Amino acid sequence: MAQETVKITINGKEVVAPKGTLIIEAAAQAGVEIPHYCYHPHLSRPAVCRMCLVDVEGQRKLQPSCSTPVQPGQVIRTDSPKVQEAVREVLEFTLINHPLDCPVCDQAGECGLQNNYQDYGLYNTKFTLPKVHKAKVQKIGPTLTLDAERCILCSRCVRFTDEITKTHEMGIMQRGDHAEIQAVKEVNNPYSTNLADICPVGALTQNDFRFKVRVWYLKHQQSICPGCARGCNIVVDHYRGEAQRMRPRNNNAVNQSWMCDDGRLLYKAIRNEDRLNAPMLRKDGKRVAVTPSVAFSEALRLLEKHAKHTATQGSASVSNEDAFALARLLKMMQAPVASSLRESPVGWEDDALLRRADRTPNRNGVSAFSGTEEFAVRLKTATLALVIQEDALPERSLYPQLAGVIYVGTHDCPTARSADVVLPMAMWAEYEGSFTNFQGRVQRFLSVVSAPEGVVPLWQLASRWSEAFGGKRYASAAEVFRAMATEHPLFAKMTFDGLGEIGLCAPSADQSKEA
Amino acid sequence: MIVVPRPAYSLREKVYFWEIAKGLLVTFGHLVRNLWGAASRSRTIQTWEYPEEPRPYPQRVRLLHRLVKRPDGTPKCVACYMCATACPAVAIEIIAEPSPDDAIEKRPISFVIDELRCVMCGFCVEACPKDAIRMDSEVGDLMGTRREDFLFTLDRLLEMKPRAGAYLGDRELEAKRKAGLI
Ligand code: SF4
Ligand code: SF4
Ligand code: SF4
Ligand code: SF4
Ligand code: FES
Repeated sequence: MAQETVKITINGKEVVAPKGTLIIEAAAQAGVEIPHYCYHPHLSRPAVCRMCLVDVEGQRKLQPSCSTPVQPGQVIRTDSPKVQEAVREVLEFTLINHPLDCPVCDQAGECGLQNNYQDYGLYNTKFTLPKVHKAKVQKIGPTLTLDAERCILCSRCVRFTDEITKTHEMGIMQRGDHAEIQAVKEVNNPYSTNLADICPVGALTQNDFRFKVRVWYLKHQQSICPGCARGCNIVVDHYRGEAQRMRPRNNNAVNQSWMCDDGRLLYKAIRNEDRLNAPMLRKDGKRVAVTPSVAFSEALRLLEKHAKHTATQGSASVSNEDAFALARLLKMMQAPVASSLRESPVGWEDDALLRRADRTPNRNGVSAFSGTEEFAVRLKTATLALVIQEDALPERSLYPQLAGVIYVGTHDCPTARSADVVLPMAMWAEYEGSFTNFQGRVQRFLSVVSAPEGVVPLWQLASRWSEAFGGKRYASAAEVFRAMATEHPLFAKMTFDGLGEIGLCAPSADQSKEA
Repeated sequence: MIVVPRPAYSLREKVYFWEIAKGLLVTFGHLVRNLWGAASRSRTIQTWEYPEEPRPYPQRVRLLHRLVKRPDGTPKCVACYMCATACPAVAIEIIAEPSPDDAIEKRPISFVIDELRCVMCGFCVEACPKDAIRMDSEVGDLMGTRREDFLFTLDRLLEMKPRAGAYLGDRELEAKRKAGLI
């Protein structure tokens, strides 16, 4: 059934919107930005801030566009002097008791007050009475700092904890100009950091990011959280070649506007002390750092020598392209395809909001290219073990027949310590590729920072090795994706660039899991 | 667009021997006067014996930076990065940390100005919302043999004293003030 639509006019421009759309949303679709604070697409609409007032022809008073649905034939103006005057006055009122902490406020640069003040500022304050002061620098939980003075009482945080996490930590106490935002209990729910994102001002800020970088220095890159099978859409903010923070990006089918607290900290693994930065070979029982080409050729020598007798442990943390290129290499070597994947660490359960018990980002995609035989079973007869990312072979001595172990991964672990060749590979933030989440949605992540010198993604290693077995070398992730799309129905009719910002779902995927 | 025509050369200028002689005359004139002036120690001399003989600074001079202290000796700076953001030479590097005093909230743990990069534009002073950085220290010239000599750290910037001496034009200003002109 075709959706009913309504024709309206916004600032003299004709706009067609589905019936029931709010004016603020219809305007946004038409490219007209209406200033707002309390409205959030994924929360209820109390219409308390009054910033979004618009002129609707035939109505005596201005209407809040965040709670007024479009009506057929409505003529709306967002730029009339009457509206501008009203918005300026609302902003003046909002700022009466605002401390203007901008120099020490982490929100400065991405603050709703600052931004709107550029457009609607009064600049000369009329207010001469002393300001009402409220509690500052309150550590209201492990992840957040609250400054009640900066709060503009939009109630977004209250609604988030009431409606989304249902943990009810935030509340507005008192009345009039003494009304104050308070945490009534410790804010330690697993989604607490989203409060810092939705707070339009600097009242709620993240402890992890506190005073780290001024936000106007940050550069942004679209990515996917590698923390669990959900694959939340994110933006990674980086500065001077280092990831500084992760923020959720809107994708209604996956994570709405949210992400979890644990996921948000995963950028830290990119540069932690366990990170493998240089290839290593084992010589006389000791590991020595070698150049990438030496390690690469040594691994290739082993692969050629043992070809068929290689047991491979795959990983559900690598991209679709990685898994595809690896499977192709193994087929050319006539070795069994990477075996089924190990269980992910326990500790999480699927919850009602986002988190999945499966803490690997790409089990769905990787299993499309996996064999069924257990790695542990294969190991009993194999003479070479190729381990990708997982700590699958911590006790090498149990397999005396093994002539060699190659470890390709991002971080050091017992398996890496007993391997003959250790080849570091690039992490999700360091190359581009795609993950397939638990819904079967193929989502693209882009390269945020550069990998350590000489470190490349797994698909590049695999495609270069496969040259020795008569395969073609891929030049880009997009090229791998193209080959993958022709070979596997999960990626049929998709292109790498076509994945866009919010990814694509294969028709065969389980649509019922879509949020 | 305004086009300013080049002045045409006269024949004498085109020949240029006469013009060169004129220039040399000025040069040698200064030389002779300096020799005589140095001997008599009078102020007809054209060159300054800098730095032994300091020049008076004009009122709007920008000297090397200093950071202002609060009454208790801690830096007034709140590490807002406004100066670093405004700096066209990317000469200022700041690292911030939470201040133990909640009323101050933020303070610099490191604040380094690379005076070799600095172009003495004064934008940092203009940008500071706390009047924490000024370019009115005692030091107007700086010598060093190593790069580190020009890296002014937080401690060094806090130790810099404000300049005490008079400025060029002070007397004229004072006279105008007395006459009620300003
Ligand atoms: S919330 Fe915004 S306006 Fe308020 S102090 Fe922070 S940056 Fe400034
Ligand atoms: S703390 Fe932020 S989100 Fe919560 S009511 Fe205040 S301004 Fe709104
Ligand atoms: S004077 Fe100009 S160049 Fe020098 S530190 Fe200040 S802003 Fe930068
Ligand atoms: S602008 Fe002033 S307060 Fe801000 S960092 Fe620079 S010196 Fe410190
Ligand atoms: S956004 Fe409409 S009233 Fe707040």
